[in-house]
Amino acid sequence: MRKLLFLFTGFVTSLSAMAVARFPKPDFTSGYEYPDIVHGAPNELLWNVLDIVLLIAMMALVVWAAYKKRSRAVIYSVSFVSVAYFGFFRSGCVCSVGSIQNVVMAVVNPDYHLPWYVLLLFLLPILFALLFGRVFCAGVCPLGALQELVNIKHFRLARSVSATLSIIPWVYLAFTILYAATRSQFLICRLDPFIGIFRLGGDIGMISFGIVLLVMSIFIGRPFCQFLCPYGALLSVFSALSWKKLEITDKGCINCALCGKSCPVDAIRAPQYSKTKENRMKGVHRIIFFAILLPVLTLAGALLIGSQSNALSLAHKDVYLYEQLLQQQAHPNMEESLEVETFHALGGDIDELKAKVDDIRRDYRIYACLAGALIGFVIGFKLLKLSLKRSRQTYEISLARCTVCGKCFNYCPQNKSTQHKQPLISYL
Amino acid sequence: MLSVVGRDLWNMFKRPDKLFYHSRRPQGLTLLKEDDDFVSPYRRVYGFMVPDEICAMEVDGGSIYLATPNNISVYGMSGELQTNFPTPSDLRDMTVHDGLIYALFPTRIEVYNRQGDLTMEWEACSENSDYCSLAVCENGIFVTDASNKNICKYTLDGTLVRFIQSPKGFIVPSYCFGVAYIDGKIYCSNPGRHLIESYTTEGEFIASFGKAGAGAGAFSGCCNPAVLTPSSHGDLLTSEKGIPRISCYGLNGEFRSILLDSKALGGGNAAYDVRVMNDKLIVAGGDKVSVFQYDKRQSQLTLCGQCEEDCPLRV
Amino acid sequence: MKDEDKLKSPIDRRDFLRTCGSFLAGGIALASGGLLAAKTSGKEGDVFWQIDPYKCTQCGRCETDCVLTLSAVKCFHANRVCGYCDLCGGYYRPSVKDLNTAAENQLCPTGAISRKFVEEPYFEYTIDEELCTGCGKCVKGCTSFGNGSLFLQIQQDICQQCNECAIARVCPSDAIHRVSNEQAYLLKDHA
Repeated sequence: MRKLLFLFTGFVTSLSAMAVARFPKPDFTSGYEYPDIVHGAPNELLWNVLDIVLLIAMMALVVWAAYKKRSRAVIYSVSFVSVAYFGFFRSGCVCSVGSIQNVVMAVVNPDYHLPWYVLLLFLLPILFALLFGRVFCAGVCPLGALQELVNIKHFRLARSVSATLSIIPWVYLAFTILYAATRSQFLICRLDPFIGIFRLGGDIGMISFGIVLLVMSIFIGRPFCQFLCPYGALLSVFSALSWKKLEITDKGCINCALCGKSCPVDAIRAPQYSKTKENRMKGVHRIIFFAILLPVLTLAGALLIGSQSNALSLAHKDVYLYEQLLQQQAHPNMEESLEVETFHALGGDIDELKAKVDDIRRDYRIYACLAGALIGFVIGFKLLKLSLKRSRQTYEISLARCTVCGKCFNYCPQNKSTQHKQPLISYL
Repeated sequence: MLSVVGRDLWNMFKRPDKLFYHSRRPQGLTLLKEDDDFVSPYRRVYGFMVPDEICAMEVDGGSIYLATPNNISVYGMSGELQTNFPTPSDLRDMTVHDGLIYALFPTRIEVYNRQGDLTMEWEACSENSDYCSLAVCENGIFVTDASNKNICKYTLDGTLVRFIQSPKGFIVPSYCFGVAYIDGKIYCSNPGRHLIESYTTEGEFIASFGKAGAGAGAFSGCCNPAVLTPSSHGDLLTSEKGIPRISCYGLNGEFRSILLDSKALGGGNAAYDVRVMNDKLIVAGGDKVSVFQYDKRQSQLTLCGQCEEDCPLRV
Repeated sequence: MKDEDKLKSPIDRRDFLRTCGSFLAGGIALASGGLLAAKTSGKEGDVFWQIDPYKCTQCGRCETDCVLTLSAVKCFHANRVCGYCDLCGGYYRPSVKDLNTAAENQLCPTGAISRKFVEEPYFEYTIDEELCTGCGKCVKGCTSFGNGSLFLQIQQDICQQCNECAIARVCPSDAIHRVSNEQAYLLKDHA
């Protein structure tokens, strides 16, 4: 059926092309022949296959390095390779972070073709996170790797600050899904701070933001990964439920506290001994409190963002054009923008556009409410987590935050015995 | 960092146009600055729309004949549909003579009466003919051929009489090869050379005039003028494509004035078909027909208003 | 015994919830993966960005909005559609007086179109792709005054195939869309 449709449209378009483009041939008497021009062939899809193969290989390598060898050196070298290949050579596009948008569009729009390698770019890091934790973030993601390479010092942020800031990736994710589901914008591609550096050129605002982030990354590890990356937010959920839990050492923690402050993303949790068992009623009160708070926050978020859906819908090209047309009708003396001029020149019908705009706005209402609900839920959940105190006997890694960079391995004295062969990079 | 994020979020809600769009308009793409001082001496009095794109137009006896890709329709002066009959597609040009409608296709000619019955048809004289436009008089039918670069003369019942060649050769880069019968002579455009040439009905070359250029009184682009039509007074009206405009020339080649410029016509790139009916100009382009009338007040400072000819258009 | 149970149960419960969560997450991941994989095998691969020359209005944004410094958009010439005119609408400025190759007479700001005499009165026009910036001035001239044999296309071996084409975002006539591997160029070559 689809093949028939394809053939039919091909036939019709070729017919119309023929009808439009027939021209009387100049009568050449000197035997002139038309030149044969060959146009540059597109890059082969082999590159994409190589991308996926390297992705799997590098993630597997990080898994081996983190779990078996506990070696930061390997992870560090993987970061180099990632920045060089995925970053500068492939210009950092298509990246896993952006693949969220493609996947959302494919879910929402049955006509949208999702290339298989984009789907794999989306799924494979998630699968690995489900199995082994955020190994993608470690050194395979070019954005993370770039920040990793410049990280030298590490200042800790107050827990409340980092908790508040960690809501931002979820907000980013919610809006990304909103804009991708309504087919208006690829928000991640718009606001990606590092793509300008990888492409060696681009919008000056984006590049300067990227440089600011890199400078920050010297002192506070991985600001993008912790506080901005929407894919990281997604991975953190899967990583918290991972099958294999990453440990700093396989020989058992001796509570020497050397690793405590070493983590650039604050993922190591110190032991907490709960001396007194908590009053049971307090626990019950807390559960009831959150059982009410979570739905309330979710609903509030949904209503708040949903109410703004009309203002948000201006992100869609057609809605924006429609608003411009209305403005033009209200102020006829105003200079026409290029879009309005083209619309009129191509004989656009404003009623047809209005019908489309109504459809889009209806979509926006639904997805804006969903986005708001997600944000509300996340805020509630984070508050819940903040208020809970888990008892811990030893130093443990909080898997949701850990990006498997391997810095902590070198601090642990239990690991030193296996690593005495590599003294040069112990400062890493 | 918070400031950047905060600013982005704020913009997303309040001013999405600043965040997502820019209204940069690259400079220097308006090819020809419209002559803003030009005021057309003719004013659009009314018009009507038709459902399809107009290929050709003719006026005869108070009716407007319109040819669209599959149809020929006859309208009254105020846009009411009188007759309508289908034709095969790829209609190129149409004209009316002596109550009969002559329809021109790339490789044949068909003749209909007003009720839509096909009275005559014949194939083109050669296989690779590509006919553009035609003019009919009692002497015969003159058809311009874009691929053989000549004019074919047929009798009124379809017999080929002769070919008419231009002394320097016709250059026809596109299907804009207009022809008209005025005062016993055949006037046609030599579009690639930007000339209007005149011939006797026996095919002898008489004279030519015209020059290339974008200003008034010249023919712009690669192949102009596209359409030629006589005024009832004996002047020649031309319609150009590229920068669409309708100009008036004397039959000896003297440029009189531009009657309607691109803005008055409605813009675009295609040539508008134009005919004269008494004191009005009927213009057809796209899917619209417009009727223009001479406006004394508007024309006071124009060349048309200062012309000394006794023109029925300027009543 | 009851105390032991009480002490054991919170941790066990957490582990149990955790395992449940893992399975749920894994299930969701695999199911969505399978569903989406079904979607990928449906249509032909539409991967490459390309301009539809019949929709293009030559607004000039192709030159300025590409992420690359020198835009991947170039002007192509469909020779079979060209009229080989002396006064080429795409080569010369509309107000040209002398038909020579002087730079002030040309529309092209970088001089990428070269004019070669073929025979009387035909001239051949060719575009040097390396000089072309994709500004579209010649295309506009050719479409308005001529046969429309000059048209803009995205050169596929330069184009980065971004996830979202920056020019497609701002194209006022929505002329840029993804095309399949076989049809990487939408040419105007019929005559």
